[in-house]
Amino acid sequence: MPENKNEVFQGSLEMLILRVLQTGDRHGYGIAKRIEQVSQNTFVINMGSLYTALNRLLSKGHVENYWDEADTGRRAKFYTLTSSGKAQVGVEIENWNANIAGVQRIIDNA
Amino acid sequence: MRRLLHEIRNRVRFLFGFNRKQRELDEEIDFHLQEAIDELVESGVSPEEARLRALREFGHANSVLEDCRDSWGTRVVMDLIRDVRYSVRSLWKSKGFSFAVVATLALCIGVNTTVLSALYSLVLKPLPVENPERLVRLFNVKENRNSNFKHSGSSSGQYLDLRERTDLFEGSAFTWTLNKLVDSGSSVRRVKTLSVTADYFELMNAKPVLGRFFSPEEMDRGAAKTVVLSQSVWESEYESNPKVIGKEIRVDDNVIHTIIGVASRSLGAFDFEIKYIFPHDIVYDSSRDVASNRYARNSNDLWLRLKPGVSREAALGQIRAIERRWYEEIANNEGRRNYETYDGNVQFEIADPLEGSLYLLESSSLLILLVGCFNVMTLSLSRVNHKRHELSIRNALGSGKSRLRRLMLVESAFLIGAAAAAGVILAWGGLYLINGYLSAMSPSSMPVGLDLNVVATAFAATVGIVSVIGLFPLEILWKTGLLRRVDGSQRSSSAGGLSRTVSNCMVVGQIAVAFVMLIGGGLLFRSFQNVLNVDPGFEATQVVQGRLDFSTVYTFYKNRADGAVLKRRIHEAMKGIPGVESVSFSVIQMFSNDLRAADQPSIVRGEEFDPSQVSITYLVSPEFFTTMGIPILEGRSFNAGDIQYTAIVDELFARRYFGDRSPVGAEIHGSHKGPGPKQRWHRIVGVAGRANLRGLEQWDGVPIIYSNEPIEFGDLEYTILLRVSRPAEGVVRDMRAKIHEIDPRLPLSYAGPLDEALDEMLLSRKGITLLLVSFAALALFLSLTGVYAVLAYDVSQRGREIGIRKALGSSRQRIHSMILKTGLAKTFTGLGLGIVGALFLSRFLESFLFGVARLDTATYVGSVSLFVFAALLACYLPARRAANVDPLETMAAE
Repeated sequence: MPENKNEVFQGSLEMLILRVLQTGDRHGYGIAKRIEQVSQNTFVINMGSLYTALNRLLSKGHVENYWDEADTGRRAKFYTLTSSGKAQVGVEIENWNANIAGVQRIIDNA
Repeated sequence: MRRLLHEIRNRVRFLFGFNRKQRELDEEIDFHLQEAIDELVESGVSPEEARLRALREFGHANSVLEDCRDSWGTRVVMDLIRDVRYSVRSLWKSKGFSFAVVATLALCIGVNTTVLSALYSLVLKPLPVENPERLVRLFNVKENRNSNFKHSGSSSGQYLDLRERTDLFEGSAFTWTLNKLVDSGSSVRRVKTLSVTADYFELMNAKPVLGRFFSPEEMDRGAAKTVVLSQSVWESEYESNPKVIGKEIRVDDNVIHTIIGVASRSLGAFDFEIKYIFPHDIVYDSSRDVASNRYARNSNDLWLRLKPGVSREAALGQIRAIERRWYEEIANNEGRRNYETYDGNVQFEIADPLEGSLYLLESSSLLILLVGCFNVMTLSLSRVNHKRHELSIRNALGSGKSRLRRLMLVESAFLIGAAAAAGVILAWGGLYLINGYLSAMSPSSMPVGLDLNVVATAFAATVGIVSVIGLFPLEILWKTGLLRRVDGSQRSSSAGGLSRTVSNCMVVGQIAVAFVMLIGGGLLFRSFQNVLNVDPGFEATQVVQGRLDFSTVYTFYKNRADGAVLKRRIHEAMKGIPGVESVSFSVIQMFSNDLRAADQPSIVRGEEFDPSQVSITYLVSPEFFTTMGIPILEGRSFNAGDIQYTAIVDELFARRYFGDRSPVGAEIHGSHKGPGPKQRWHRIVGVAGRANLRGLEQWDGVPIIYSNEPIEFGDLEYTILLRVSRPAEGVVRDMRAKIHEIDPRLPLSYAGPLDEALDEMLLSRKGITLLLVSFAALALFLSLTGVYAVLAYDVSQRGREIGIRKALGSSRQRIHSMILKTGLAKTFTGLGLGIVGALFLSRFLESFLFGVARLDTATYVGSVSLFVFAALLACYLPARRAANVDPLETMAAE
């Protein structure tokens, strides 16, 4: 495991996936790439965690999947937000911000 | 087999759409990898390198698959099949370990199930009646000199009073337990019977399995005689013949009773020995309803059933008020003497003779289980340590903690499943043995069977043990972090500190518990020896006894003179048997709790009555002392010319009543206020040695007064005693023949040498000593296996260290003693704890001890030496192996 890159924070991966899917349907590889790109390679996504998280979101009913052709012409499984997923994005981001603010307060004032 | 497994797997997969999901996931991962490779190749990496890098970055492909499968829920079944296969293979590979664990646990489970079954069935199991907690048996209880409570049954007067005057009971019944001679047509035997009032069967919720119970008319004394069979006698004597109704039996005085029904087995729970049940009607006899009859000398049972919602205390309060009034108004406060009426817990009364022993056995068997669990845990810990490398690799290859955990669980479930099966078989055998002993130790108790409740409890306990033993070692290894270091694991010097500490604690714990048990076993063993060493006070090996019962022939010898002639003839006939030196009799049966041997107060003429002193009177013929070999210490023995009112007291009586003075010449009477108008004082003519006629453990019990009874008198029943100079069997044969010659209707029972009867009395002590000593031996063995396993493992792990030590010049002896020291250090720590435990716990053993203090030094020293010696043996093998380590080999291996 590369030591200089961080794994995403515990519990934030599902939120990140939901947020990425808000901008459009993607396959698993696309989701990972997008997170790495946007974070300017701050995070590296462990693929095991990624597919487990996707599976969890599927079973919670926040995402659905379908097979389609990827840009490279290969068949890939695409993920899309369900209505409950769309609602969940806002909740998750709000929670995250609250957590971050809390952590920040501790860093500043403890 | 393999095909079958395959088939099952396919079906399961189909069921969960497993194949489709699996394929899609594979495809998805494949896509992901291809995309990553493409990208790397585009950035100028060679395709080969790109593939490797993508694979590496993807992480554990396996673990992805497993994680995802987890969320599908099919995995449980799939993995179980795989785990089972894996476990069987791996357990088969280490047969020694598997066998040790299965054997240890099977023994523990077997012992525990057996003892728990016995305890449950004999003590804890609710009686087979509706609302058993409302069933009460009434006792009169007297506090005697050792402030032991002495029970005596209730009287018919009490029954009639309570039936009239209480309103807190919804039913009552009165029963008499009597031995009667019953001629069933196929055999003539003296058996235990019950006579009951009309309300008995309803009170006990008994149902006839055949026929019916007594009708109100049949209760009447003048009515045709009827009888109800117990189910056990119906099955054994009548082979469950449904046509038994209407058959006749002859009882005692040749009175014919007609069988009208068979009572259900549930009645057997109250007294399994009861064979026949007769109707009995009570006629109130005010002359018999005097204090001495009402409160003492009763063998009768008064049963009551409380109304719903009525507490025992309230009911008892009412009963005591009634008794107080009777005592004050009717008995004019005469002679009640410290008696109080009590309610008895029916359940516990029946199992009374065994209860203490059973609890002792139960706690010992739990201790064995504890030792066994410690032991198995030590074994598993060292096994898991052995498998550490394999487990680490599995972990590295993507098996998560939960997966490893399941693996261990399946493995231990296998072991414990096998152990439980073997244990139940052991328990079954154990109960077979117990039932064999039971008929001798507590004949009133129903035979013990494997009970569903007990087996369920054992099962639950087993599941508990599985989880602990299965997971515990893994948790420890996980905690120490050893599983996460693949590279160094093989070389790291030994198991982690934590796992080592834990297994050390286990071993020390085992030793401590085993030592406590060893002390317990040792103390009981010493007690048993002491009992055997008690001088009975008579020469048991040279005396043959036989009990004669004249009640059967009573009608033919109604005339007292005829009876005397018969007894004289028997006496002469016995004298004529070759090898018989002298003949005498005792009305009270030897070594039994014969009712005639009831404790009674005695008063010395001209002295203050001491209510705390009791004694027993034995009616014996003049030759009793010579026959039994009991020495006369002072005065003289009875002689033929003595009148009936002479007495000989034993040493204990002399000491208790007379202290240093001589009792010879004094006059005594077996009552609290001297003889009544038609009675006389008994003059003491001699002092006899103390004879333990009630059993060896009674040496400090109740003093004996011997009262002179000429041969011609005797009673309806008495025990003939023959002093013999040839082997007992021949004498017994001759005895039977002679008596048969005189009157074939006369039954002879309990015929045999006295020492045999003494041995029988020791049966229950022997049984419990044997069991406890073997439990202790088992615990000792298990704990030493533990010591051995830990040391052996230690040595195998420290091979490198030992090699280096040797290379640096350590001698064999030094290595040897180093390992021995490690082992002995554990042993001594365990022993130290064990001694503390034994000091504390032995107090619970006190009532079982005989002639040995609970802190008996010899037992402690003996146990410690035995333990240390055995521990040295257990340490020797690993130490030798360590000493033989070849430094060159070790170095080469490094």
